[in-house]
Order: sequence, then C-alpha cells, then structure tokens
Amino acid sequence: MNKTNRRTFLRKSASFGLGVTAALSFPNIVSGLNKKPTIKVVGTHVTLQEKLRKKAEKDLGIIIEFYPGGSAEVILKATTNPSSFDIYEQWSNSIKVLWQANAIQPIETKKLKYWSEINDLTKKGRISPKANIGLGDAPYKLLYVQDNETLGAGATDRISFMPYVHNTDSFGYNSSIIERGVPYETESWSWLLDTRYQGKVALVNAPTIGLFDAALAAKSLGLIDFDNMGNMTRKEVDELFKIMIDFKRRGHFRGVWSSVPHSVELMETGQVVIQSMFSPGVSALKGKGIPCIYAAPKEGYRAWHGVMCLSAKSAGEQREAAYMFMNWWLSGWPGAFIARQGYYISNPERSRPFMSKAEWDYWYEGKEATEPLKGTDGKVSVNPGEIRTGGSYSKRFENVAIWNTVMDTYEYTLLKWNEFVLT
Amino acid sequence: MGFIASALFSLTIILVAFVTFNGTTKDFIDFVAFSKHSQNDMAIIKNISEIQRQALVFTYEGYLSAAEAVHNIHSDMLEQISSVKDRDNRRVGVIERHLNAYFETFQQVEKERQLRTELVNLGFRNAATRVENNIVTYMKQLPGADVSTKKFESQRVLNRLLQVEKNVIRYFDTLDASNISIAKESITEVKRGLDSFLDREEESDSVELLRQTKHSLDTYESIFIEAVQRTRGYLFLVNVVMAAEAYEILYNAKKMIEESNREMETIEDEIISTIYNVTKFLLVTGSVMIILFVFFSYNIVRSITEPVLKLANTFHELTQGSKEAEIPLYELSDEIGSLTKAASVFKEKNRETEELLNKSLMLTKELEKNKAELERSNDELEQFVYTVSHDLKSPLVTSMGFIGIIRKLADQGKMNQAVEKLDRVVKSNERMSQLINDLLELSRVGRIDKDKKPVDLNEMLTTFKDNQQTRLERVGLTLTIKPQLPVIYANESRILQVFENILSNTVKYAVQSDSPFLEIGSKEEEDHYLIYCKDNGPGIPVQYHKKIFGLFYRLGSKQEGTGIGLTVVKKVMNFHNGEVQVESEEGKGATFWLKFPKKKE
Repeated sequence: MNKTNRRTFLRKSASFGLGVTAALSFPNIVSGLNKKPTIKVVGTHVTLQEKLRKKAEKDLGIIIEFYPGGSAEVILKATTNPSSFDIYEQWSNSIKVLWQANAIQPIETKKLKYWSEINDLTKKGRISPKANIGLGDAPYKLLYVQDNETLGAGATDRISFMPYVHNTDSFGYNSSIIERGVPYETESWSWLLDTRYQGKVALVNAPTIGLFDAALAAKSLGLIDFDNMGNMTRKEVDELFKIMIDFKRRGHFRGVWSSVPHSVELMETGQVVIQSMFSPGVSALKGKGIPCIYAAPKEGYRAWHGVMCLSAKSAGEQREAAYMFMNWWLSGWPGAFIARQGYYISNPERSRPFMSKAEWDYWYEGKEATEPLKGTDGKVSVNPGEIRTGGSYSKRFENVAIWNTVMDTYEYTLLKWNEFVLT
Repeated sequence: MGFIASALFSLTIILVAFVTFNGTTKDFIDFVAFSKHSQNDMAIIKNISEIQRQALVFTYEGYLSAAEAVHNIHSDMLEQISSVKDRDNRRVGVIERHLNAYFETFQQVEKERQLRTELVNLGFRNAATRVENNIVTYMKQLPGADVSTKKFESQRVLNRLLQVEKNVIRYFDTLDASNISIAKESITEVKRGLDSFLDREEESDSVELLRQTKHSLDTYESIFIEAVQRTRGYLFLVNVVMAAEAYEILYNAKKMIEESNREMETIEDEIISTIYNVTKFLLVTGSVMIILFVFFSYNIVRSITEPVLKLANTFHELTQGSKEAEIPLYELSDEIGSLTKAASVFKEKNRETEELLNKSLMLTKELEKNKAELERSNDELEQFVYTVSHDLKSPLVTSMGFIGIIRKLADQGKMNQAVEKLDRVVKSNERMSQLINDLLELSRVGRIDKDKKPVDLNEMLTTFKDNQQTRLERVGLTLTIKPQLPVIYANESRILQVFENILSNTVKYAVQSDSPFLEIGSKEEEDHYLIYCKDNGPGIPVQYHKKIFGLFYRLGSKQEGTGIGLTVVKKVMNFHNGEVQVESEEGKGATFWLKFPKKKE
C-alpha cells in the first residue's frame, strides 16, 4: 500500500532527539534557476517524496529543496537552526517543541486558500459529533495561536501548523498463529500482553508512541488506570513501567523495533507474532505472504497527524512561496497521491476528483475494492475484494483512543524506556 | 588361528579406542571452541552492559573518563567480534552492525553533550550574567522620579530573570520539562518588563542599555532552548536509540550463547553417549576377548594335544595292523602334520599288507580249490577214463565177440551167417564212433566257439522251434516258447546246443506220455535269469538228479543216445558261469532250470 511513507519514521527517531549519521543522507538538492524563488523543506520521507516535489515544482514554478531525514534529526535541525528551512513537515507531537523553541511562526489562515475545507477533525477535534477526541495532544489543541502566544483550541486566524496528512495506527498480528478477531469488538490492545504470545511480542521503539501502546494494553487488561493517559504523571509512568518491566523480565517481549523493515523482519522470521505496527509494515508483510492483520482495537486507535509549519525565519519571497507550497498540498492532487499510500488528507473532498470511484470507495469509504488499485509506485497494491481494516475514514477517526503525544514527563519516560528496553 | 583371532580382536579394540579417542578429541575441541564462543559472547554481554552503563554515566554526569571507557570498550568489542568473524553465525554480523550503529550514535551523543555543556557552562552563564548585569546597571543609573518604583520593578524583572536561570538549571538537574515552561513564562515576563521599561524611558543611554539587554535576553533564551533541545536529543539517543541497539546486541549474544550451549549440550550428550557406548563395547569386547582367549588357549592346547593323542591312538591301532584306524584331519605342515602323514602312510601300508594277505588267502583258497578241482578232475578223469574205457570197450568187446563169431562161422563156412553178424560188428563200431564223436564234441565245449554276445532268446528259440518243426511233428511233441524271454550274454551256438540236447532228452523220454510237451519260459531274479524247460515226461527220481549230468549216464539202457547230452549241457552252463539243475519227481515230468548271470563277464 505504502512505499516510503513512514518507513523511516522511527529510524533513530522520536518526537525529540537526534538522528544518527546513518540517517544523514539527503537527496540531491535540485537547484533551480536563480530567478525562481527557492524554498527549503525539512521533514521525513513520509511526505518528502520526489514525485511530490517534482509535481509541486512544475505546478508552482518555484524551486523546492527537500531535506528528508529521521524525525529526531530534523526536529533538532529545526529547533536549533530555524534558518535552515522554510517549511517543516512532521507530526503534531513536534509542535509543542517547535513552538517552545520559537522555531516556527504562526500561519495566517487567510493566506490558506483551502482553509475553509479543512474538516473538523483538526479544527474541532472530532471528525463527527459522535467521534472520540482522543487522549493526549489532539491536534486541534495545538492548532491555534492564542493571543498570549500560546497554543490552544480556541479558534483564531493564526495557526501553528497547516493540517494535511494523518492516519490511525494500531498493532498487527499474524493470523496464521493468532485467531483472527472481530474489528472493534474482540480485537484489543490487551492482546499485546496476552501471555499466550510470550516471547513473541514487540513494541515500537519510541516512548511517544510505543509507550501508549503499552499503556493501552495494560489499561485494557485492568492492570493500571490513568488520570490522563495522554499526560501521565511520573507516578503513573513508574507504575506502567513496573508492569512492563515485569512482563519483560518474564520474557514476554522479544524487544523493540526501530524501523518498519525491522518490524517486518521480526514477524516474517517468526520472532514475533504480534507487535506495534505501521501500515507500510503490514502491507510489506502481506506482500511477503504473511497474513498480518492490522487490528481495529475496540479501545480505539493511536492516531497521528502530520503538520506543515512555517519557519520563524522565513520571510519575504520565501514565505510567500512557502504559502504557495502549503496551498498546493491541499489542492487535491497531493491528497489523492498520498491516499494511495493509505494516508488521509484534511480536505478529502478536494482530492476526490483526482481519484477513481473505486479508489475513493476503498481508501475513504472503507468499501470492498472493485478493481485492482495501484499504489504511488504504479504497481497494484490492492486486489479486488479487499477491504481496508477498520472501515471508512470517519469510522477510523471516530475511534481514536489517543494521539501520539509528547508528555510533560517526556524526559522521564526516556530514562524509564532505557530501563525497559535493557531489562 | 586363535592367536590371530585374538590379535585381530585386540586390533579392533585398539582401532575402536583410537577412533573414539579421535572423535572425542574432536568433540572436545569443538566443545572448547563453543565454550570459548560462549565465553566470548558472555564477554560481549558484559561489555555491552558496561558500555551502556558508561554511556549513561557520561550522559548524565558528563565524565570524560566514562566516554573514554565507552571508546575503549567499543574497541575491545570490535576485537572480540573480529576474532569470531569466522564463526558460521549470521548473528555475529548482526551484532557488529548494531555495535557500529550504537557507537555512531554515541559519537553523536558526545557531540550533543559537549555542545550542551558548552551552552550551559559558558553561553548560558555568560548570557545570563550579561542580562543580569545590564539590568543591575540599569537599576543603578535609574534617573528621575519614581526611582524606588522603577527599582522595585527592575528588581522584580531581575528576580524573574533569576527564576529563568533557576528553572533552567533545575531542568538540567531533574529533567522535568515543567521547569522549562516556567522558565519560558519567566522569560516572557522579563521581556514584558523590559518592554515596559523601554516604553517609559526617554534617556537614550538607558534605552540603548535596555535594547542591548533585550537582545541579550533573546540570545539567553535561544541558548537555553538549544541546550534543552540538545539535552533532549542526546537523552533520546542514549535511552532509546542506543538502548535498542544495545538490546539487539544483548539479544543476539544471548541467542548465540544459547546456541553454543545447545551445541555444547549436544556434544556433551554425544561424548557421554560415545563413552558409554565405547565402555560398553570395550567391556563386551574385553569379556568376549577373555572368553575367546580362554577358548582359544584351550583350543590351542587341544589342537596340540588332541591330534597327538589321536595320532597316538591311531599309531596304536596301526601297530595292531588296522587299516581302518581313523587318521585325524590335520593340514598344517608342522610336526603333527608330519606324524599325520606318517600315520597315513602307515595306514596305507597296513591296507596294502592286508590286501596282499587277502590276495594270498585268495590265492591259497584258489590253490586249494584248484587242488580240489584238480583232484576232482583227476577223479573225473579217472572216472572219465574208466567210463570211456568201459563204454568204448563195450562195443569193442561186442565187435570183437562178433568178429570171433564171424571167424568161427567163416571157418565153419557159414558165410551167410558170418556176413549177417558183420552188421552187428558195424553197429558196434558205429556206436563206438558215435561215442567218440560225442566225446569230441564235449571236449570242444569251452575250447571252440568261445565268443559271447547278447543273445535274444525270443528270437533264437523261435527260430529253433521253426527248425525243429518237422521233428516235433514227427514225434508229436508240443514245444511252447513263452514270450518275454531275456537277452543273455552267451555263445549262441552253445546255448542252442543246450536247448537241442534238452529237447532231445524230452523227445527220448516225454514222447512216452500222452500229449507230450515242452515249455520253455523264464523268470527274472535280482542278479540272474532263470530259464526253465518243463516237460510232462516220466520224471526223474531224486537220486538221479545229479547223476544224469554224468558222462554216458542214461536212465535206461533202452534209450537211444550216448549219455553225453546233459553232460554237454552242464559243461556249456559252466562255461557261461551258470548252472543247470533239474526239478523232478518220478512220474511228474521234469523241469530243467538254466541259470544265467545278468552281468556281462
């Protein structure tokens, strides 16, 4: 389904932190004509794809330089040197840091051509009235720049990020070993701590993500409760890690995975049968003939939201070009492009004309594929008869349990994470 | 043989022991190798735990010695991995890959840690001091009215500035992010305070000072924000990235230890199994060898003494002249073999001696038999001479008597009577001539017509009957030849003579009976044929059964013939190694049995 997408998301990364030299390779920077404005875009491989860059350059007539890297690397780059970019693309859980670091400037909604089309998921926190907002830093809580220069949910005409790509994550399991569950009914985060799978369980190696997978699992089993899972106290963190370390000591976990290929290898080789997963990993395993099911947990998903930010140092021609690029992203074609990797755009209807009915029905409506659907690489990624797990876009985002979040206890969770991993 | 077998057995045991020792040695070497691998893997585990501990010490305490220790341990681990690269285990490569990633990440940590240290220890302090000094200077040079109020406000700003420093420092101590939020709020308040000072100041020096202060405050803020970000950065690297890399190294090293342990357990089981099996084998083979040794020793002794004892018995028997003495089988060319051969020669000599003795006995018996025969022949010859003389003398006497009568009649001139008497003389001479011819014929038996050949009696007697048909009709004798007569090995003319003589006898005697007949048939016995010639003549009294085969013997003087016919029969049968016997009672006919051996001579 997805090609590069979030594959490198976790490689040496988290919401904070640094990348390593292995991840320092940048694609060739396309130098444009001096006369054209040039913008620098820093972000991850999920959205910094060459096809998008070329298409944007062609459509906008500007020079766009992509600087994809590991999440940790790019956020350090952004927070310590805002001059190094005009546009920053990453996840909503980086916003607090960027804003705190004065690395980004508010975006004026009036300059966003399609702002009015952005759906309520990002603007108000719910995709529909019956939807869960989800714990943690739901994007809408960090969207608006308040008068006191803090970020909040109160609507203003200045925003900290332009909403665009987003999706829901959960865990994957090998249905040849674990009996297939019923989405939203029997599939549960608690499966991650089911002792029947002892020694064959893995978590994603990121405290801002994997920690919530563990928290959802422990809570589902009734081993712990939180005042607010999205912002745990140190005591709650201690309690959760005590449980996790106890499981680890009993040999419950194979370990943690640090990249999507690593997660694929773990399940493909049978080292794990259930683990935190990203959708590209699930697709890769299916492609290898492993019947990996991407669960729709009854407790809800762990969701993530992409953010497009404007550098605090961007000004003049570059800032205008940056706005052009942001508007281009919501203009329809990029949303359709990214939909073929399984990701959603914040103004879906604008992308609908760029998708076939079968594509729209499968990717957004959660209906059965009626024809072979191609991915962004031009190869068939979905065969007729397949149904996207979790159902439609609305259904999935109505069931968000928590958003990837950098909690106040982030640094403390890092220390505890080290203990958990090395136990 | 026993010694060879024992030697082979011993050789087998030695070979088994050698192979076992070699195999066990190899297993032991493998065991040691796996043990070393295990030790090495344990060292890797120990080192990775230590390297992570040192990395954490460096991260939290900033001790350069800890960073140096990380470098040293990394070098040691590289050497450890390099020394086991020839191991056929993909995990070695995996460990090396993770170790490289681990160390590269640590180098990044070092860099970020150093930058943060510089920011905190130098940039942050300087910026804080600069802002603080500026505010203090501003306070000192506060002009005009409301100085006390301005001082109070300035002091409040200064205090807020100190709150920033305090909270930032507290963050670095506690890593509690809420301190940064407070510091940020404090910074914002300081900025607001400075802005309010600027708004009311008119003095250009103070304005400039406040502007510098504000600029310094921005620098101060950016420094501590960068320090915070770098702190978070290396904390992430060391606690998440490096921890995961270290865990993968630990995991794979433990797996390698498990694999090595499994291999060692396998080898241990194999060695124990081999030792058990070989011990069992040696015990069994040792026991078998002892048994064989005893067995072979016993047999070796037996193989020496028994032939000697047997030979002694044999020689004892041989000295008794036995030719049946059993000579033990002994094929070796040793002394016993020579004795065995000598015994064989001895036995052969005994056998030859006995043969010679038997021959001598046979010759003696034959001699005695010949002597008896000779005596009987002499008797017979005397009898024969007597009989011939007597029987030849009779016609001669008769002839001489009639000659004398003829002479007297001639003297008396009775010529006719004399001539009549000449017939008597002629008859007597003819009889004598007949006698002489028969004797001559008798003498020819066994001398002339000696050739023998298979004679089909069916054919011969059928022809014989045909030839005699006229004669038979003349005398009214019925000759019956039974079918399935045998083929005998004989001189055909002499055998034919036998049947002619028997037929002549029958003709002489049986014709006196009513419906005379002669029936010739046969019986087959185990080693001979019996031909019978049965008639219904007057029979022969038992007392004459042997006499009738005597020369010139006739049962009645009235009968024609010379009395040589049955004598010829007997001689012909003797010539064929056969016999002739008569079975008869007076008045009940007679049956002559001719016995012919089956075997060709």
